[in-house]
Amino acid sequence: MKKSFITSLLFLGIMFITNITSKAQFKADGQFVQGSAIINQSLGNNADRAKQFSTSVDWGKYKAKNSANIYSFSLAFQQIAPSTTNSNSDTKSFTIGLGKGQEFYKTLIDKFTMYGRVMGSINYYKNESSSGDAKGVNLNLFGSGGIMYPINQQWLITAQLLQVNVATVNYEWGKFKTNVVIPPNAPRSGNRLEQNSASDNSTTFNELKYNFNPYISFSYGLGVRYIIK
Amino acid sequence: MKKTKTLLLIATFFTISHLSKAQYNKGSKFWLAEGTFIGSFYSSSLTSDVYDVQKNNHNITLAFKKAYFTEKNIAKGWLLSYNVIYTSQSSTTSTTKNTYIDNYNHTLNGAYFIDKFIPLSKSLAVYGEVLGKIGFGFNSGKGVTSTHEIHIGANANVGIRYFINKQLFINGQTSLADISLKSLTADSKTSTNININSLMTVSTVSIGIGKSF
Repeated sequence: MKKSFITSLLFLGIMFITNITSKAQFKADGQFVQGSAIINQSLGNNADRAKQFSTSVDWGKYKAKNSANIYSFSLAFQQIAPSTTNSNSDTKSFTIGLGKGQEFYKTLIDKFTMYGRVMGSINYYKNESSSGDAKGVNLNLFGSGGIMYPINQQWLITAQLLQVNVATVNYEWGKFKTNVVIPPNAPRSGNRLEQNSASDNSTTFNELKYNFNPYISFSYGLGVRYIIK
Repeated sequence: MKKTKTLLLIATFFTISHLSKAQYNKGSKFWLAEGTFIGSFYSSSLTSDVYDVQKNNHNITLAFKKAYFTEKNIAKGWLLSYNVIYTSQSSTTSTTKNTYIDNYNHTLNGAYFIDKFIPLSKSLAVYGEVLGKIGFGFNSGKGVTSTHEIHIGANANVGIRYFINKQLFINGQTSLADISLKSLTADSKTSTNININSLMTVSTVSIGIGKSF
């Protein structure tokens, strides 16, 4: 599996290097609509198995022959089934997002065009599991890249090959249905703590996370683009 | 007229070609600053507000590189990097606040590296890098075992550099291989480990900004 990723990277690299001076062919001021779907499925017995389905609708306007402004609306659903060694329950997650960014093109061999995107997005999500619920809002800065192939003058097929996550700020809040985990050396002053740790109290939480640690993930997705004349 | 156009074309090509290689010629220098920032602030409380938990985790890395082109497309230089990991955990009842963990883990690295650049256009280049490093780390604070470590190692990296203008550039780099020998002392006991990572870290990439002069 890893070998095929590296082969894909090498292939893209060679294509990019050998065609660095090629020109893309889109008309400035043209507009397009694109629909995409991405399916991820992780396999293995010992790791948590995740199924992810995400879809997005993009609207774009070509600024020049080799770049376009993009507005994106996305929906995603994820289900994580825990491994046999993990006692956590299934987690389901639903995300809705809005994004804005820019897309760049470089013509490869024949009609194949390589594209790269830089996007900023805001997303709202909701996680559900038997142990509790959580909601969150995040701001993301990310890039993605892939290949496009025109079927005719108005229709193109797009294939996303990889994504680069650059920075994220995430705020999450929610409620546990189980007892709070109390460290063994926690102070046990008074009776109230003992009463609460033994009962079926729910716990509220909130968390702010930040992440500027860029990484590349391989996510394959197919899309269809319609160029509005 | 046609001859003038041809001459202009050749002159333009020559200028672009010259620009594309100026940053990588013998005598050129560059510096590069990189950083990664990861962390979280977490708090939870029972709905009756009698038992609250606070957890903070922060992991910050800063790196600075400076290099000198000793020959065309080959730069040699040094790197300094610093990483701090901060972890804290505390709880509060209606009467008491107790801190269980409040710990800093510091690591300082110094390295010497050699870069081989391949310019692809006037603003874009890819490069390979070999790097030898030596580092020192220790932790301080409450709630964890005190440790000291010394490590030496070598890395093989690849990267891409894009010049925004003649001097400023954005740099992306990922590690292909990482070998390190680490001596760790904890509670007066010393252990030595050899770590080898190859191709496993290809999915992480550091992004930095630098200046060529």
